[in-house]
Amino acid sequence: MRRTVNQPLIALLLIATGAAQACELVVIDAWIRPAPPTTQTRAAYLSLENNGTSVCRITAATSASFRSVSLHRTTIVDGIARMRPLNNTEIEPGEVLAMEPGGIHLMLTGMPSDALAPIRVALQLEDGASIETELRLEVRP
Amino acid sequence: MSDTPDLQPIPRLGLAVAVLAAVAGVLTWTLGQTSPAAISGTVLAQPRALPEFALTQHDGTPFGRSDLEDHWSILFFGFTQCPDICPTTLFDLRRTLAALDSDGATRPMVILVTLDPMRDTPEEMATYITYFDPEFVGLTGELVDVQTLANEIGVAYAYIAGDGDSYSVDHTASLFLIDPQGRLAALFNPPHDAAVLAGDLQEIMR
Repeated sequence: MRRTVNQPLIALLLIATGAAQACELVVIDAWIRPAPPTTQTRAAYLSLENNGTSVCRITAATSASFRSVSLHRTTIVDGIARMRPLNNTEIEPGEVLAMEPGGIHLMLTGMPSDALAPIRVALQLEDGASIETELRLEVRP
Repeated sequence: MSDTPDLQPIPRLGLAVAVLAAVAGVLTWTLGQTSPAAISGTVLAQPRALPEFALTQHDGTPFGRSDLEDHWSILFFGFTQCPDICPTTLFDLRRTLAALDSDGATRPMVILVTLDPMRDTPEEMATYITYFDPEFVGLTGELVDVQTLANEIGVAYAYIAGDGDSYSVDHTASLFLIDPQGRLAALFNPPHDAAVLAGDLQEIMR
């Protein structure tokens, strides 16, 4: 069954062009928490569905909209939160990678003055391909 | 017997005794806690007094142990450049206070103690903490003073180097409930659920 598309605006089909076996990602959700204007480092939470026939292996994220963008994972063990860069994330065909607070997130450093403007993000895949999208982050507390 | 020198067993025995004592101590401490089924956190059977401390409030005024007296408080340790767990916790706390308000219950003072006073000046703390709720309090100070309080409460932290001169802070993301006598009364491990936490707080603060 098809997943509900919460935000039609951001339901963008991303296809890794040139790959024989396509990794196709659909952004089914993209949100960010509101933050004080001085905050330079924020986390965005995307949900990516692999609609393709091969596994998507994401190794990095880039964006010209920010000073730096990276995939991170927070783990909480015995009440201690640790955040580390995530260098490889796999999404099997038909699976959804749901980024969420206290888990995987897209760490954005150096927010543009208008944080609500659409941002361009490129996801780097293990096979060297790159898939790029423009998305609007919904602001939710 | 081996040809181990005679004195060898003595330190070994000493070590064994020390280990046993430590285990017994941990057991005693653990058994001393009570966690009623209705409470999601850990309530200390014997509230633990906090030491004196001298930190600076986000408005620049001093803040010490006596400022924790005569009201309940929730302490959270974090830092303003923390992108994920700190905003998540502060929004959880905002929702918790809203739940307490709607029940007509007492609001505890919510306090964020920065573990990154190198970057978190009082001005930075003011902009940050009041964004979540104008009544929230941010505390900063000398690194040694912040760390001493964290150590006393049992907060773990580590500074992790990132790209260039950037760094992040691993830290205990638990909430520490301080009673009106300025004593550690209970703690709650993440993830937090605002409705559950609000219920637990009302149960404990009665």
